[in-house]
Amino acid sequence: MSLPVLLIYGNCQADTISALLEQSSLSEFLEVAYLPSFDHPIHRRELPDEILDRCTILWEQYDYVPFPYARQLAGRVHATIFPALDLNLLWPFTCNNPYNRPEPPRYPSGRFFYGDRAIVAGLRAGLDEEAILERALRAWDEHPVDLDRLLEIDRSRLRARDMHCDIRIADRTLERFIIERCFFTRDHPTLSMLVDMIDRLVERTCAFEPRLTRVTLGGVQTRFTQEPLGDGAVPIHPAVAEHFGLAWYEPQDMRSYYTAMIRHGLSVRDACTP
Amino acid sequence: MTSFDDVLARVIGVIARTFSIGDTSAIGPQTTSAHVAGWDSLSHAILLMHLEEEFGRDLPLDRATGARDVGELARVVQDALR
Repeated sequence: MSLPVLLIYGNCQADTISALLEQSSLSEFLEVAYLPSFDHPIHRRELPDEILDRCTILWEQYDYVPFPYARQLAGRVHATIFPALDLNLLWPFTCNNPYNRPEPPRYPSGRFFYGDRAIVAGLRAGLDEEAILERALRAWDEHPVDLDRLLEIDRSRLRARDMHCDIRIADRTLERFIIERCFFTRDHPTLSMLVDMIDRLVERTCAFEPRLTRVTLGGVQTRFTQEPLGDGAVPIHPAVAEHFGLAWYEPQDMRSYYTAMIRHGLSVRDACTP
Repeated sequence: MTSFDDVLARVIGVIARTFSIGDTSAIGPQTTSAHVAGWDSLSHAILLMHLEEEFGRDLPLDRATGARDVGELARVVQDALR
């Protein structure tokens, strides 16, 4: 017999939440369906009527792109609107990465979706690995950023978005990022952050579906030997870590992130050079 | 007082730098975030920070965050410069 459907709508975080839940005990009584809010490399941005007919629970990530089936499902599903997990603060030099290339099947959208302005500038200037790294580390001295103002801007953005959601995460995120690593890029959170969001979604929904209280994610977490959104991490400049007093920051780890991003950029640049 | 056209040209320059746009001819007052690759609500915060650096003024975040197009963003900046 077909199970009722839990539909999760949103970005790559919603996709990962779906994947986590599909491996949990929840799949014994609910079928999980994912609908992307963006042009996903694999999933289509539409759902068959058969899935919509069986949908009883909707977890909708708040987005400027309206949920396309809102009218169709209105009034007959238990809906919870939740915010995306993201933070600009740690990456004031973030930019589009022109040296990102799709690498299917593992990285259909590319491995380094986001870039670092100093690294991109170094690649464009034709510099070698060492010179690009030096330029990236020097970026702060040449172009310091008012991180306290960026904190105000980001806090304002996160709180404004929370106002549209049933689950509020802004203040918790701003407390948490200093004491533990919460993000690998500005919108790629750690597994711990994703599981925390699932807990909140379950809490909002379990009055409607009491079996959700039995869902355990501990086993699911341990099956992930790697962070599901941990690839393509963008390095955090040491000056940013120092300003915020990031308790978890390891300079040597960060050095390896710089190296990985620069080497990847060099390989793409060299492949495109005739 | 700085003219609107001057402010608009500098705002477009900041947008181009923020989103790595080489040719700015397609960006005008009616351009919205939907027209620019990578311009989402998250990167809008970085854009605001770059605008504040460019013009040396704090922008009113409620208006600057809600600006619907480049022209409206330029008006927010121009008002902050008064």
